[in-house]
Amino acid sequence: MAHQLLWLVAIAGIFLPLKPARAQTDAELIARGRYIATAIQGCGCHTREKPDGGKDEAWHYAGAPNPPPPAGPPANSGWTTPRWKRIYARNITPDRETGIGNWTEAQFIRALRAGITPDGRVLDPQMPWDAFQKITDRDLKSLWAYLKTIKPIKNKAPDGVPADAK
Amino acid sequence: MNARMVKIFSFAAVNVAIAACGVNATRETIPGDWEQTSYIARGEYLVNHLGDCIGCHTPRDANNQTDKSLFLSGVPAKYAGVKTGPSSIAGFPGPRGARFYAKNITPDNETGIGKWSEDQFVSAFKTGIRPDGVKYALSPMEWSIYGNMKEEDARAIYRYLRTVKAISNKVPANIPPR
Repeated sequence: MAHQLLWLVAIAGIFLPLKPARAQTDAELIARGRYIATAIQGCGCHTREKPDGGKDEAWHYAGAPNPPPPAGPPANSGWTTPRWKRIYARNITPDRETGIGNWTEAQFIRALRAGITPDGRVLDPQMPWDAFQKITDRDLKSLWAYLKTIKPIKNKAPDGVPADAK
Repeated sequence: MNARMVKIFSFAAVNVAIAACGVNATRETIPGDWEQTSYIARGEYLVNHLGDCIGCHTPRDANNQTDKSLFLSGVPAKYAGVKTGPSSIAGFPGPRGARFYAKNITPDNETGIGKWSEDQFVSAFKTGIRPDGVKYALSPMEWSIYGNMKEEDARAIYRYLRTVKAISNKVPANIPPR
């Protein structure tokens, strides 16, 4: 009996340090999300460019201008893909009407991993959700926590023009 | 097993353990706040997933999927001069007629970054200046962002990029703004 107890203690000693780390605080998630957004995955497609080619920070993450210019860098005038004649980067600021301010964290993660928006639209692969599928939960939660802290900007990004449109 | 053999075996075991510690001490450890266990795994995660380097640096096929056979080899040389189409063929339009082409970042010595040292690569990320001293132009490659990257992350990206297949492809030259 004493032996068995000793074993139990020994085995517990091995596994105790492996118990899940405590949940991260919001501040830690935001800091990590800020690092991702400002150092690694800039999400630059979502910020339009100024005439000199630099990012127009007054419209940080607010998506393509509406109406969009007919030509220019894709962050302003959209991309061409097999499915779309023109497709435009969306507003990912926390604005409730035109951004993602009404999304939940779960909806955000679904959009990034599965390419499905809360209203059921399937995102074009131009938004690289296929590459994003393997982003860790922690990094996606961090990015979401950070995006909620940035300035909401009102801008309804233009609707895409399907490839078969006249 | 007699007492002498036990002694020999334990001596050997302790030596092996000490040697193992020595090897670990010389190998740089990856920061503990990362989920990935090695620099190369971290680099793979950053290049193929979180940073999505493949999105621009790998050509796409007719279905807009990245073409794995041309993995990270940049805009194919044969598309030089093409001005319409997706950025993996026609490059990214910039201001005043500029056009930027995603580069070959495979370890090919002549057309990729095979001759870059790790320190040169990290420095390019930190400063936006190439090993030959040329400063990178404003382009879709967001040097202002990547300059904020932790050195370990840049090293992880480099170490992973050394493991991918070298592909010979001379990317069309950028067209500067008029």
